Amino acid sequence: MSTASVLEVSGVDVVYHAQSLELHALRDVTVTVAPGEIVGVIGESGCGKSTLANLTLGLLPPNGEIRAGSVVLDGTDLVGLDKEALRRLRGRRVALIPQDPLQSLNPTLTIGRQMADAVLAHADRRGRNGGELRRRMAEMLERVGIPDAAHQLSRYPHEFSGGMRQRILIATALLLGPPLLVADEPTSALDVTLEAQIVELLRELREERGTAIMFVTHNVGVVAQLVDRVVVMYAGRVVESADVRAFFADPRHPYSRALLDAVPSHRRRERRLATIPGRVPSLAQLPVGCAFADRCPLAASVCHAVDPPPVVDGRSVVRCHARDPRSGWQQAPGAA
Amino acid sequence: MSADAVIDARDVRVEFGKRREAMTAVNGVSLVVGHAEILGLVGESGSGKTTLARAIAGLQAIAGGQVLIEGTQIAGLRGGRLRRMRRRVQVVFQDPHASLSPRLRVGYLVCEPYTIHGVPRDERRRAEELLDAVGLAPEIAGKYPHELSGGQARRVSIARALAIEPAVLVADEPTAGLDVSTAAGVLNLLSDLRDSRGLTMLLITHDLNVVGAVADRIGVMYMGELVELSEADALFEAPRHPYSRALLGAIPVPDPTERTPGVPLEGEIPSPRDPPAGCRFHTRCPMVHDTLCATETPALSQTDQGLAACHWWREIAASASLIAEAPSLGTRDAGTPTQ
Amino acid sequence: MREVARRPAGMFGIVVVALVILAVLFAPLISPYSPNTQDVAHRFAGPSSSHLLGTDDLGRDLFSRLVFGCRVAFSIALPAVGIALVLGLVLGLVAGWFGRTVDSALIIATDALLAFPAIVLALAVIALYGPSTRNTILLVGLAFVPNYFRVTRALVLAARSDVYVDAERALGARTSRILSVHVLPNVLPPLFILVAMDIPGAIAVAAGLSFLGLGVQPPTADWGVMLNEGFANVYDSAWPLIAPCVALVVVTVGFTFLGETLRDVFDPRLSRTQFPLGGRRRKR
Repeated sequence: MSTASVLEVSGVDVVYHAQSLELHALRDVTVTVAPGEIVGVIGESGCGKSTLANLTLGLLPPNGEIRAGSVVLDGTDLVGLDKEALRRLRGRRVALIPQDPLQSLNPTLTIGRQMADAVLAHADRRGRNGGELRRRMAEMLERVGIPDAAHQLSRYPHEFSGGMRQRILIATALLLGPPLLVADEPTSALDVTLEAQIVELLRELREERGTAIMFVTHNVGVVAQLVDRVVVMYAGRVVESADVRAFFADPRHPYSRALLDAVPSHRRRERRLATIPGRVPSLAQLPVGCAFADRCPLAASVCHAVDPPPVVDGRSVVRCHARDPRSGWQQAPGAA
Repeated sequence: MSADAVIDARDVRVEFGKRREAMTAVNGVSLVVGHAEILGLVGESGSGKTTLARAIAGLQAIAGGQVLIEGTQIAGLRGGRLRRMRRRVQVVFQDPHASLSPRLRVGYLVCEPYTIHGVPRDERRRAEELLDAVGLAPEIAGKYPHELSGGQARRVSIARALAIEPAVLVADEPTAGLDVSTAAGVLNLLSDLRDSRGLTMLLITHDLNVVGAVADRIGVMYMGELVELSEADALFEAPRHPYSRALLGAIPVPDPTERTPGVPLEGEIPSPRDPPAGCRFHTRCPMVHDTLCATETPALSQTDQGLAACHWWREIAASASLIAEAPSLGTRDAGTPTQ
Repeated sequence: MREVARRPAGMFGIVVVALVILAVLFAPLISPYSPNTQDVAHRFAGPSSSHLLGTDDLGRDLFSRLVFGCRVAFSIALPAVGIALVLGLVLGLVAGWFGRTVDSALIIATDALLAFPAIVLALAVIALYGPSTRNTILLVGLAFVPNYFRVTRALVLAARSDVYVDAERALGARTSRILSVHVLPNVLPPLFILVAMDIPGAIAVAAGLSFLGLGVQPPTADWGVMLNEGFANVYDSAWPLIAPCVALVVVTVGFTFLGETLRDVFDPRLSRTQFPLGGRRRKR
């Protein structure tokens, strides 16, 4: 937890107010991203990964409330900042690569105009000069693999294919050189061959520029191929965090293990896939104790009573009584 | 073309648009699926797999060729005969919620096929039974579609399709939009249905991992054509078409110790309105090729592993045996033009 | 309904509609006098304890005439809008579902109808068939048909390409079944909202026709007729003019508010429940 971290989310609680309910989207979430590091955040629906992404961008919806914790982005705590202050940080300190390239671009403006908007929104010495700005934009487009970039600036989004649009969005995100990129399922809408291209592009960009990336996805394969560290979320909590190799070699949390077992792979073609019994609990009515206990093959009585605290082991963190020597967890007779 | 083929598609062509806007979405595809067999059709956007599936299910008019279900041609069927055909072929659509009429309850929806086809009362099963067959609790019958989760809605669609005991199930992206564990459950269900009821299934997906889990045979499509068709094992171990190899190589392997630099396939799919001459894949094909690929369209021919539409499949077979498991074809050349 | 009442405009609308319904149903009980009882000795009286709103040129009680006028207005507006709804719905279904030639033909026909300003159309018809209540109803109904036709057609076109309609076709359902069981229930709610908003329009058009002497004929107590009479006698007393004016305005505004509030409550709400209750993963 050095002060040089690009992102330090510490003990954050986020609650959404929907009608008369309170949804606990994030509970005591701690995530750190070091400069130039790629962190993969994985989890299924309702785990809170999208909330985490929005939080980092300072873009929680109006009914979202940060009840506790701090979100320190490149040295500045986002909690408590007003809208204008947050706006100034977006683009310069953190930028978004969104999921759907089609919906994220305005169909009535040229891409050159939209890219320029990203820069001009931060009126400072950088690139106010039109010619200089165009040069930088063209350079960035070339870098992300769009040929003949100078001419493409005057084209409209519909003239590009999905893969190209995603590259344009990546170029836009990089224009102001933010130290952190938040990629929210950037390849979910793309074919697998295009996905491979984008993943390769992100790898290269990290090498060249030292940009850190928070990569939010449900795709376990992409995570294995791209990230340095894995953060697994379930029902609003971080249940495991580890280096990617350590994680895939030996996932410590039962949910992580179950998740990896359920992923179909063309290399492992058994007839029946492992599934996780039960369903994710409602965020409005979380059970006492560990939220995964009802579905966990290792669940013991302590799991249903006490929410497991994070246990740090070198560079890994796990929230599980079964992995905590001091928890009083006892293997149930006959359990796997 | 075995006598007991349940699905028999012969040289199917589907066209969209008129005159200058015309494009061929499916360009002469033939395939056969037998009893209790799952054929997976994989391909990326623009491959034509969904269009072909719809044509086989009788939901899309074809411009050429024939589709036979249990020996009967489906084109030109009308009225009662058309309805009887529909009893034999059922479709599970891609978006689980969108395919369920929003203002009707699940119980009504799953039993609706009985009403539509005039099944006599004593032959109908109760909604709860139908739901149970797909692993859903009886309470689901009282809910509206928007109250269901993605996985539940998907299972309701399957239950509905099974009510009238079809011979064929066409599943379009059955795991799209579902969480990993939910998707696994649906795939297991499909497998079980094939085993317990002898259902013939056509499974459409872009995800080779999904198809690898349940399919017996796999067909790979590119720009409206079938480029490879073989047993699932054979395809994964020994693909004979460069596009199949690229697809397999592009799948991110969930193992960080196996990171391969370089990408399997550069560039993007050419416009379907103006497909490349000769082999449609030749503009992106990483294999060494000569003018043959640009002038002559390869036919789907028998290889040592199945069927493949490539002039050079023998070379691919030879190189595969030299380089064990080479998922990416060549490294990226900074100077190689992609189009 | 609670949602609607929460908004001030909606509340106002509900109150007005409730009052109107009362007036229509219980006119004879509410009005102190019969609308046609004359009392020439007390003509042009201002509001008083015996005549809540005063009297008109023939000494008839304005309040009673207003209440009965409400009934008349509705006995015209309701059937008129009803005709428009049924005709527009059927034509819209046919056009939207079967498309092509039928669709083009129907669009041309309804556009032609729209091209005539309602009053000009009324003049023409009445010149041929004479003024009467029945003709008024038919004319007002016809004037509104294109609106319902268009809305229904658009909804049906949208439904036609909806996945669940495809799914029903794949199951083997007949067109008649798809239309009646699946499409219609999704088409009707917006139409009902349209009805709520068209009723005041129908009342206004009907009143306009009567004002011009082309619709309901005196001595029937109708707001348009009252406007005409009030206008003619305005130098003697303003009340015979003010009464129907205010009534028309209040009813129009009330129904419009109700309709708009209904629309606001029902349409965007349905698509705006976004919050993550373990929501669905976004798909390809």
